[in-house]
Order: sequence, then structure tokens, then C-alpha cells
Amino acid sequence: MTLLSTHRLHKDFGGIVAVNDLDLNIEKGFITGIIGPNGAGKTTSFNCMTGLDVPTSGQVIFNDIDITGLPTYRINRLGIARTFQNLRLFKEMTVFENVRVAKHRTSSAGNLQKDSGLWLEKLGLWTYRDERAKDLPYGLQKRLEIARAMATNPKLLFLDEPAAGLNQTETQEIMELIRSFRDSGLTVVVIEHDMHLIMNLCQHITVLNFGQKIAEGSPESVRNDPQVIEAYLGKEDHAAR
Amino acid sequence: MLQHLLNGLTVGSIYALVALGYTLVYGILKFINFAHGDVLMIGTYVALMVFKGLKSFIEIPFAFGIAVLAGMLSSALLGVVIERLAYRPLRHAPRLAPLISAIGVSVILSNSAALIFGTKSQRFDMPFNNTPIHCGSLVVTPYQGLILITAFVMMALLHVFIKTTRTGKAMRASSENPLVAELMGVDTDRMIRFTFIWGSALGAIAGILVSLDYKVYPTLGSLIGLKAFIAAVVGGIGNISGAMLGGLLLGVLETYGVAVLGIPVGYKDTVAFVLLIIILLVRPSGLLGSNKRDKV
Amino acid sequence: MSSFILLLGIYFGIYALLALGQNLITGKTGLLSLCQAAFMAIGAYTTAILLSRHPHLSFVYVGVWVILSGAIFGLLIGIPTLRLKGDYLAIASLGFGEIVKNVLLNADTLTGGPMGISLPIKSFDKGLFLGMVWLVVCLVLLGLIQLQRSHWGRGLEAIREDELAAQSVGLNTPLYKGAAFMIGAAISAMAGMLWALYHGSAIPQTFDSTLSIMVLCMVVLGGLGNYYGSLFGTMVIVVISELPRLLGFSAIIPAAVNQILFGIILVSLVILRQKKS
Ligand SMILES: Nc1ncnc2c1ncn2[C@@H]1O[C@H](COP(=O)(O)OP(=O)(O)OP(=O)(O)O)[C@@H](O)[C@H]1O
Ligand SMILES: [Mg+2]
Repeated sequence: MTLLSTHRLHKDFGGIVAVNDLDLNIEKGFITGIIGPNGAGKTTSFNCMTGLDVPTSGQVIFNDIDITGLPTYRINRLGIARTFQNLRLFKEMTVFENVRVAKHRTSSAGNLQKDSGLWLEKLGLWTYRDERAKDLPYGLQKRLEIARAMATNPKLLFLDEPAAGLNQTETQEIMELIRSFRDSGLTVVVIEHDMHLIMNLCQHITVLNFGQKIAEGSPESVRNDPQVIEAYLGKEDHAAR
Repeated sequence: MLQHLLNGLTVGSIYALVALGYTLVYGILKFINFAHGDVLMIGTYVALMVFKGLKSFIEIPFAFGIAVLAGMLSSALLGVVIERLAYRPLRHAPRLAPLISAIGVSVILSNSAALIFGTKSQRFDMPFNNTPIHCGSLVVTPYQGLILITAFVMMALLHVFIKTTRTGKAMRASSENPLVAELMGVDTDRMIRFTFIWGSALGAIAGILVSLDYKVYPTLGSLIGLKAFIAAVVGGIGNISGAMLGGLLLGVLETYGVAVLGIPVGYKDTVAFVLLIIILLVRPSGLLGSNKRDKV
Repeated sequence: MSSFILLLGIYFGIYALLALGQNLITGKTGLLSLCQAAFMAIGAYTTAILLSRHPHLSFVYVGVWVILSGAIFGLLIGIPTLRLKGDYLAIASLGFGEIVKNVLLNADTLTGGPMGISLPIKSFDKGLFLGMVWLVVCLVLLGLIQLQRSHWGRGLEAIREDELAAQSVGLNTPLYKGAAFMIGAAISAMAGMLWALYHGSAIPQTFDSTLSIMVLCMVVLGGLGNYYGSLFGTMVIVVISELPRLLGFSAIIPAAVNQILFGIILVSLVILRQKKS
């Protein structure tokens, strides 16, 4: 079943076409990967689907609702949460507050404190609850951003390069985390340059280049697609990441 | 009608000159140099003092020329010093910090001027005969002519400079993306200094030009500064042609507003703010600005 | 001498309200607005217009109108700027302040023009008035602290930290920012009401943009985002700026010196704080 789909989604920035007539189908309950070289339009398509950028044309349909061009907070309330490629935490606020602000809409006033605490515990951030977000080590900041997004109780989670800048162990932990989300029924879309993560985590992969979809399918089929190899995997520097 | 257009363009070219100072700095530092109006006010005072001191010794036009140079030089110097002391330490600070610092600098400058030069306004005697010239139904004073010519020459020079010289190109590169420009070997600090020098010097010219007809007083810079800033935003802040367009447009609209639409003179200054609010609502990036947003 | 202390206390209280309002807008929400003086003017003139036409209105009734009109004007300046990047707001709000002053000076029939409006009320007992002012300050402070602890308060801080991220976790940021402006403006309008009552008049020259800058200075001095700090900052600035005048040697120290001092405080504090962090 399709949870979210885009139809001829298009975004240009005064001349630069960042997303070009993109048709996406995100299947419910799966982890979908989006890959592509730098500047391929991955982040921009996330932005269009979460209301941070208003598409130039085209449609975004989520749960049979047309969400094209809705403000970001409305889209979040409908059930889409996201993280950012460059961390965007509430830096001066504590870890606990970061989560509590997000949790507010999904917890009753009486339970807010408790629920936020439980949630932090679940993600292994409880010990850091009173630290300012900006004082956390980088890996934990990335984890906190995921915790914050998840605190809004989404049906669909967008992750923009969740493993960038993380070491092997941390990447492994993030992968476990994403899998556990999936197992509890969440639909996840993840952008990554880390091929190991993508190939091991995703059931379905979409490849973008110059804003267009150049291939999609199972990890196996994408890996062997000649167009993908040429556009992306063929370049050693990308594959290596 | 044509007469109003001419008058409007005269006022507008002053706004445009000052607006360039805001836009040049914004282009690179992405911050509003709140003190710009006061920097040009100080330059105007210096010019006035030099002019007064010299005019009894040497020929008037000569004295005036030296005075203008002195004014430009002192504004430029002041601009650079302020950048170094009050803005550079805050280049990586949260957004509000440099803005607050700039407000502080503005307060310091305008009040220092009040202390040093007194709050009473002083006159800048016209250094030339200002009998109006009639061409057909149009009346042009030599003063208007001087403003228009100076402003347009300055803008043309700046335009050519930015489009053709190496430094000009480096400046554009820095405002496009300072980090990349730096990697390509552009000295960002030098570029910033450069924008402060030229922005302030052009501002001083504008200040001297207005005060020829009017007066010199310590808060001279605040109203011109505010309006020129609006002009820069209307044209698209960071965009050099935009600043010129916005300045001229604002000047013309103000003149027409009073002369044609019959807006009471007391409300003349509101025209600018209403224009600002309309532009910000309809086209927040300004007339010529690109609707680029910081990447997320 | 004691009447002088009372006077200082009254000024401290009135300015404290302005600073608290500014801290909500700038310190908590991160919106650099520079028109506290204009909001204050709205309150003062609402009071003056109402009382000069209906001298027997109760203060509570007038107060309700003051709060309402302050909030409406707060929203008025808030709305066009809700979609804007922060820097524009500073200028737009300065412009708003200029428009308000322009209207006060020119709309003679309503505002009495440059002469302002005199209130047909007896002057207050200073001690009583001081109590009244500080009662208002305490209530406002309590309300603000309560707000800070609520979800709304955390939402405002989140917006200050990162507006896009705040939206992406479901915060209706325009609503929050609009509310911050309305509350901040209403608080300043109350300060205006007290000012008008105490002086028995409302005149346009009081509500100058230098006043707005002084208020900003108070808040920066006390540390952006800290209400108690704002009170402290207010105290320092009030003492610096009013003491010479009240002691009667203001003729020796020109007003410009004070202003320069405020400027130096603003510049050096932001730089020092940046160096520390
Ligand atoms: N706000 C913006 N203004 C102008 N151009 C933009 C903006 N955001 C993105 N672009 C351009 O759109 C194109 C796509 O960018 P995008 O960030 O979506 O790529 P990406 O696939 O996420 O790349 P990366 O792997 O480097 O994150 C790029 O050419 C980029 O420069
Ligand atoms: Mg990206």
C-alpha cells in the first residue's frame, strides 16, 4: 500500500532545476532509500514533501490527502517527521527540552513529562537529559535529532543522511534503531551516501540524478543497473563513502 | 508631471547612493549595517568643517572639492574601523549579536556628533550659484543637476568596477559564497574592508549632497539611512542594481505621493514604510532579489 | 529626598515593564523588534484619549482597553513580519515606530498634535502610585515566568533556536510569534498607561526611538532571555540615566553622554559574551 506519493514533482531555484518531474511511491511499512550524487536533488525533494520548500509544480499525496504546499507544521501534524542533513537542534535547550517541545502534541499535559522521559530512555539519551544539546558529542546530537522527530509520533519518518559523520559503531547503532522503528510499524525514507547502510537496510531504493529518477527497485537490481553504475556507483569516491 | 519625475529622481538618487552601502555590506556579511547612516553623517560633518576652514583661503570650488574628499576619506576610515572593532569579533556569533552591536555603534556615533558639533544644525553654503535654469516647462537647479550627475556617474563607475575588475569579481564571488570564494583564494577580509570603504565613501557623498540644500545635524543619517535601507530591501537587498532601482523608485513615489496624490507633507515619510510593508508581503526578496533561501 | 527615591522607584517600575515585554519578544522568541516606545505610546494615548473624554471611567476599564489596543498594534506590526527573516524586522519595527510618531504629531483632532493631551485627573500620591506600578510589574513577571514554564514558553524558545526545526516538530510558528508580539506589546502599553497617569499627560516626544534603544540596552545588559536579568538591567540603566536628572545636575552632563554610554554597553556586552562562549 502506498503511504506517500509524488506526481510530477518539480522544483527550480531561479534557473537551477533541483527536482525534475519526480514520481515517487513510498510503500507503507518499508524502509525506502534515496541515493544519488551530490546535488542530485535528494534534500530538495525531502523539503518539498515536508513543506520547507514549496514545489514549483506537481503534487504530494500523503494518506490520500493532498499536502502540496502546506506549511511544515501542518504536514508534521498529519504524521510526517524529519531530520536535517545539517543538524538543526534547539542548541541552547537541554536534551530533555528538545524532546519535550516535540512531544507536546502527542502527549496529554499530565503525561508529557513522563512520556518524554520514557522516550529519552528508549533512545539511550536519558543520562544526558540535562545537558545542553550543543554540548553533546556529534553522534549523540544526530541521535537526539531522530529522537526529537520521533517524539512527534509520525507515521512516516524522513532521515537526511543519518549516518554522515558517524563512525562504524555509531552507524551500526543507527541502523539498528531504524530497523526497530520499522519493526514497530513505521515507514522510513532515508537519504544516505553510505552504500553499506542503504543496501542492508532498504527494501526499495530510488536513484536520483539531476533531479530525475534514473532507477528504482530492490537493492540487487539497483546495484546492477548500468545507468546507476554510470551515474553514481561508478564513481569510486561516492561508492567509497 | 515631468517636473515631479525629475524632482523624484533627484531625491531617489541620494537614496540609491546610500542604499548601495547597505547592499554591498549585506551582500558579503548578510547583516544590516545599522550604523551606515551615522557613518555618512560623520563624513558630512568633516566635509563641512574642512569647507568652512578652507573657504576663506582658497577658491570656493577648490575648497569644496577638498572638503568632499576629506568627507569620503573619513567616512571610509570610520567604516573600516567599525567593522574591525564592532563587527568582526561577531562574525560567527548568533544572528542577533552583530545587529545589536551595530545599533550600539549607531547610537555612539550620532550622540558623539551631538557632543562634538552641537545639536544645532549648521548650514553648508552652496559652493556655486544656484539660480534655476528653465528648459521648456522644466525647471532644473544646478544643485539638482549636480546631484543627478554625481549619483549617476558614481553608480556607473561602481557598476563597471564590479563587472570588469578582478576585485569586483572577487567581491561578487564572496557574496555568492564566502567559503568557496575563500577556497579559491579570495581574501574575504579584504573584500569586506573594501565594501565598507566604498559603501561609506558613497554614503558620505550622498550626505554632503543632501546637506548642501538643507542642513547638517547629528541625526541627519538616521532618516536617510532608514529610507535608503528600505530602498535596498525594495530593490532586493544584496543586489547592486536593485539598490539603485529601489532608491530611484522610492524617491519618485515619495514625490508623487505628496505632489500628485495629495498625501499631507507630515505623512511623507510614511510612504516609504508603507512601500516597505507592501513589498515585504508581496515579494519579500525585493524587486530584483532572487528568492534564494538558505539551504537546509 | 524620599520623594526622589519614590520617583526613581516609579520610573524603574515603568521601564521594567517595557524591558519585560522586550525580553519576551527579543530574548525569548529571538525577534529583534525596536518599537517598545511605539507600543508604550499606544497605551499612553489610549489612556489619555479615553480619560480626557470620559474623566470618570474606572482605571480597570481603561486598563482593559489599553491592553487590547496594545495587543492589536502588536499584532499589526507582527503580521507583516511573521514571514520575514529576523534582520528586516528590526528596520520594519523602527519604521512602525516612526509611523506611530508621525500619526501622533499630525492627527491633531485625535492626539492633540505636538502638544499632546492633558489628563483631567488629580496627581497621585507618589507612594500609592509606586505600589500600583510595582503591583503591575509583579503580576506581569509572574505571568511571564508561568508562560516560560509552559509549553508555549518552550515553543517560543524553540523558535528562537531554530524556526524551521520548530515548524518541523509541529509548532505553528506564526501563531507563536504573533502571540509573543501581542503580549509584549500589551505589556508595554500598560507601561504607557502608567506613564500617562503619572505625568497627567501624553506627549509625542516621550515616545522616541531612543527610548526603544534604551529598553533594548536594558535587556541586553541583563542577558537576553532572562527576566530577572531584565529587571537588573533596567535598574542599572534607570539609575545611570535618571539619577543625574533627578539630582539636578543634568545640565552639566549632556543627555548625549548617557546615550553614548548605552551604545558602548550594547557593543561591548555582545562582544564580551561572544568571547566567553
Ligand atoms: N535554497 C536553495 N537555493 C538555490 N539552490 C538550491 C537551494 N537548495 C538546493 N539548491 C540547489 O538544488 C540542487 C539540489 O540540491 P540538494 O541539496 O537537493 O542536493 P542533494 O541531492 O541533497 O545533495 P547532497 O548529497 O550534497 O546533500 C543543487 O544544485 C543545489 O545547489
Ligand atoms: Mg542533501
